Amino acid sequence: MLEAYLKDALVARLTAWADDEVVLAQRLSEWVGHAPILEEDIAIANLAQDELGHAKVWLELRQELDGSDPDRLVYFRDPLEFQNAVLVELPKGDWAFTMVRQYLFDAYENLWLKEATRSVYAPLAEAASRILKEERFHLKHSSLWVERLGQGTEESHRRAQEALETLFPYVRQLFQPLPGDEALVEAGVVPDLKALEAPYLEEVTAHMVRSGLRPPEGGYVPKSRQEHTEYLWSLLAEMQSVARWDPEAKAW
Amino acid sequence: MVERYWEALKGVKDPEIPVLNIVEMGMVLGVEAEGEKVRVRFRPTFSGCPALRLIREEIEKALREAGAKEVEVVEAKAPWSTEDMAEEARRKLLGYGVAPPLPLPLAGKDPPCPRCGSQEVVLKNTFGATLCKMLYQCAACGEVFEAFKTV
Repeated sequence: MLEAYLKDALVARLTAWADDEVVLAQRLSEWVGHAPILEEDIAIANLAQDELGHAKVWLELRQELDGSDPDRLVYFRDPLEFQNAVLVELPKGDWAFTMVRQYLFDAYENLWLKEATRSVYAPLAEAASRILKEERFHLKHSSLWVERLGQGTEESHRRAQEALETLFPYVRQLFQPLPGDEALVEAGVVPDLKALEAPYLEEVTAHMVRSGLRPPEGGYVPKSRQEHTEYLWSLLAEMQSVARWDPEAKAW
Repeated sequence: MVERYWEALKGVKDPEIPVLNIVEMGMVLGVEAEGEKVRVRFRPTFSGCPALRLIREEIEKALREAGAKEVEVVEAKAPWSTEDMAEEARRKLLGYGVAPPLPLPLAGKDPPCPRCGSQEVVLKNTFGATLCKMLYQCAACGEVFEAFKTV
């Protein structure tokens, strides 16, 4: 099925994707019970649950390759072992920050998942098409919010613009290849993320401009997925606390 | 014998839409029996579905009650689509007050109101009380209703 020399590279790639989803799901879940209106509370709980489900899909693909236990990976790895991008670990901020980040992430997922449905590695192609079906609803939701905030009141516009200025440089980290990616791309196993960066930036910039927002130029882009902010520590401390408190628990 | 197991699986409901069973949902891909051992291949609808574990347990219980001594439940990776739902399931959804999924080429379009049939509906929320549904309101009769996502 998969050539042996590609295995480690794919394990690393799947882990990076899964960690993005897990960390973002945790950030989204922080809104449950606190969202601005009831319908949004429901929506954001759905988003969180979906992202967590997607993490599970990636980690189960990894399990097939190296026998690792998805629960152990999520609840018992230390922050420095997490491979998520900085974008998803930043604190949830205000509603504009959360929705702008969600849009930036959803647009990225929709783009690369579409490419991944053509992977020569059948389990990955199938997983991508399954997840893509769900991600389309995410993008619909978050892109509407960006428009609403950008063109809403003076205050919503200001907050959305501020969020965009903080977040925009970080999205470029999502397209940075991992050391093993080149071989995977060459073999047709994963899409060439680097090649998707330009179409992505074009698409999201167009949507921001339509929404009356202006993406900033430049900014700091983290160099690797080993780079984290202090925010990841507190996020994981909370997320992992129950599992670490009682690792033998069979039911919570 | 396999027929009996299929019948037993029709007794397993989707816990989030209790009028539908997992067979008419198109979640069961195959049942194989070898002596008293039964192997079921099934696929989840939405990947984050919290009911998965419960459904697996219910499958096992139903098959044991139908005479199986050993049950193996295998989760398939193949993506599920609303196209896999039986016509009967769509009718039941409608009767339950939930707008059934549209044919796949119409994904992204709004479903008619399950109460009065009007096409004048407004999307209130892309998400609903469960992962598989959206929230609409009918502009004609005022009904607030859930619609099954077309995937």
